[in-house]
Amino acid sequence: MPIPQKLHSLILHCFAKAGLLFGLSSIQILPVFATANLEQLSLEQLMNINIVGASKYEQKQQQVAAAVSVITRKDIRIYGWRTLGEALASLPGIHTTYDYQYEYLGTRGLGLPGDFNTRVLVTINGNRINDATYDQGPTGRDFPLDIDLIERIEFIPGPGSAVYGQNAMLGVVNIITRKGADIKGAEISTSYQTAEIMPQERVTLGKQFDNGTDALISFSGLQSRGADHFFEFGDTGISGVAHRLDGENVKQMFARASHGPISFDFIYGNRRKEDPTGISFSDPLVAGQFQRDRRLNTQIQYNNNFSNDTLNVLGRLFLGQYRYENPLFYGGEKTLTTGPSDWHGLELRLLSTAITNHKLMLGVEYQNNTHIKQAFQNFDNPDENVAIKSSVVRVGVYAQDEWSITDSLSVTAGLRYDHNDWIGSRLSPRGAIIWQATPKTTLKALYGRAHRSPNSFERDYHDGVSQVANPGLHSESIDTAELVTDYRPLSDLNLRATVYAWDMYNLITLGIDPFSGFSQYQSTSKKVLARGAEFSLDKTWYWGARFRGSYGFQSAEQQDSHLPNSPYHLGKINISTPIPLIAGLRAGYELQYYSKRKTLDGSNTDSYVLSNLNLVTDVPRIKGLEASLSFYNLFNENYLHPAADTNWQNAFLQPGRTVRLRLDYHF
Amino acid sequence: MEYVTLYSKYLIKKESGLISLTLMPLSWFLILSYSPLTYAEQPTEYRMKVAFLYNFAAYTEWPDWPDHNLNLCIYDEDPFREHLQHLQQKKVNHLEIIIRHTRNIDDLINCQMIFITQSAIGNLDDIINLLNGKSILTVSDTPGAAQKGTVLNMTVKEGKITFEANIARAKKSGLKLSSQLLRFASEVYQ
Repeated sequence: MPIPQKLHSLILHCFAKAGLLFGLSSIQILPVFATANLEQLSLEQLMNINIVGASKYEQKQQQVAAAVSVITRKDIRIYGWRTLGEALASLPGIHTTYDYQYEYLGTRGLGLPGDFNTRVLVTINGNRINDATYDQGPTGRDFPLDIDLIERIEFIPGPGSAVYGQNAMLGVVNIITRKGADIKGAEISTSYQTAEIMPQERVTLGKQFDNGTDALISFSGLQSRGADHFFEFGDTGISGVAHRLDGENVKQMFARASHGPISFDFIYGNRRKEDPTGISFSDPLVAGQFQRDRRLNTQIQYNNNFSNDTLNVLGRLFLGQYRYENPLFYGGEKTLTTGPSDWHGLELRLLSTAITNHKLMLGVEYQNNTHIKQAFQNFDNPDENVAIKSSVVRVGVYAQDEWSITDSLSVTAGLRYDHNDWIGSRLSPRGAIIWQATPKTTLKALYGRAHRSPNSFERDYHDGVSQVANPGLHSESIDTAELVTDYRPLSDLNLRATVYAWDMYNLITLGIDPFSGFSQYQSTSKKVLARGAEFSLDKTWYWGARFRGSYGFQSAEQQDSHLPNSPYHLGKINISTPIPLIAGLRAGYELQYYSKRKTLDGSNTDSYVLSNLNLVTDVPRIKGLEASLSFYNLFNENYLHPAADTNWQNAFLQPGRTVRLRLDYHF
Repeated sequence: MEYVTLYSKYLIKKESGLISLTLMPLSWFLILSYSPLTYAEQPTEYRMKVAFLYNFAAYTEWPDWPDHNLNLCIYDEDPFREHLQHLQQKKVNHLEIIIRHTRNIDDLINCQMIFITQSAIGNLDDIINLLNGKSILTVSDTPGAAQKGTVLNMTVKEGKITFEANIARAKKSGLKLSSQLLRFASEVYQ
């Protein structure tokens, strides 16, 4: 029976975490200079130099009620990351998975095969990107924004529902985009990648006008022919090289304008990925099967301060559209699964510092998922056609107070009330105690509860032949407790240690309906319990190098059985350093270790070590031209990722070494 | 570092292969720490603040110039570390800059310029009282310190260094801050 791909049957999911508020802003490309001569610069010149590792952001990070991580545009440039998932993979506690359809984010031990990142919220400039049909948080090439338009990625691990509501169970990924003032003219970027045989291009125009209006517009695309990989197709006994079945095509547009307190974003992404794997047990090695995801996210935002800057008002009106197409063949019969959804809404948030030592936040959010339509069509056998329409209104109200009891002790307490007609009412509380024990040491104790309402796919989809709907499905919830120690013995050295525990209840998973015998999404009584620890180090040197290293241990179990696709150990090293031979040449090297992961057939994929190297330099004598050479999977490591129960395969061999040459011209 | 030990125990109990993993970053750390490179695209915060200290000295007029040297005192724990070497043997207004470190508040009256570090900011009121009326340029980098009486206070804003000036305090001390300097101050307290 056809099981459309998005129906990923599985039990849990994954998610990722996200990052946090307030990082360093605008990192500009600056002329290279020797720091030995700074004293010879004028005050005016000095005041235009950006610094690295600014204590402001680190101190602010220390004050935030989460173990927040920030990735800047500079990091993206130095390491040559191609997707949001690759950037997030450099952080503690994250393991990504690729199945030749999507990239998936595993967070703190949860990375269930086939889950669509429904338990991590992804936002761009505060606008929710997870769609209204499948709740998918995109992190691969289906993420609708070109990664080179990102100024900053903030990852806030842990439950964010007390502020963010739906999806923010294991983390929130906040993306802050670049502005016209950061572009100051035009950027043209072009690259070519081996293995996939893939050209990629981007044109961006941006400017801040004299009247203060800031505008940016950008177009991006990539055309991948794809590599020819060998696949096996389970019980069919068929196996072979999927020739020309791995292609990918992406078109993206981003526009942003702001004037004073008003800003406008428009994000559009259209990505088509050919399927070499025969997803959902479709016909093996057949051309014309693919995933297409189109996302349109737009918003108008108002952000202004009043009453001597003691009151910040943020209001936004947003609108989103998601379109999904998945044509597959079954016994030669052509089928098509679609899942479009439309939504709009508004959010109003007040942040007041009028009461001494208190930072009080109040907010209300309304989202109307007006049209959600899930359809399955069999062009050769229309009797099987199914179309299900649904809609739901979600309303949330939240309040949070950060109370600085003394200079060194503060307490954060927050609560969000959510209501929708599918699950009724839910409360998501959150609390934190932050103690600056010494000027160099900050201790945080965090607790939070988060909920996720079932998405339309889990609740409403039925096809009469394999799956039945479950209109009575309730929400799932997670309780998280965490202890964080930030230790900063020197201004350029940060150490962080975190221990955490999370328990997930009423997990929405695919089960069997006792009446029909068909599969059905149900709330499982089997709790998922996870315990883990993360240790990280961040050191910068005055001559421009930076080292980031982390080690994470995580154990996630359901009824004493270790979860699939959940490595126990994660080790990450990121080194960036100027190369002294050539002025302006910089190397970024990544080393990642992942221990074995359990697959659905009970076996394990081997542990592996992955290396990426990126070299980036200004091209001498051509002002504004930058070149980079990147090696992904530098040592051509052979490694596998577990597959989902919608795949013929039990695990997927991951791409080998890929080389990318890229030129960027700014004028 | 107690907490690290505590966590390590927990981890070691769970899995013994952990030690080698934690050592891996450390070894990289050691390898990298002695590379004598001089290029950087972006300097660190305290490297920049050293350059600002130099400019502050250059744009300030003392009523009675010292004889040979300009004593720059770093009070309490030094956040600049190796970056201060960039001031050695440099001159402002023909005076050689001499850097002195002290944790003794009574030493401060022998300085022409004092950087009051964040670690000492708890004593700020005492320091200001002690220096009252003396021609000593006080500099800090703690939010709010200029209102409390340091003459110049650096802050980091959007990744860049800015500073505030308390000219009321400068006048009391008989110091003249150049208009070139005040022009760039983000805030001037009269």
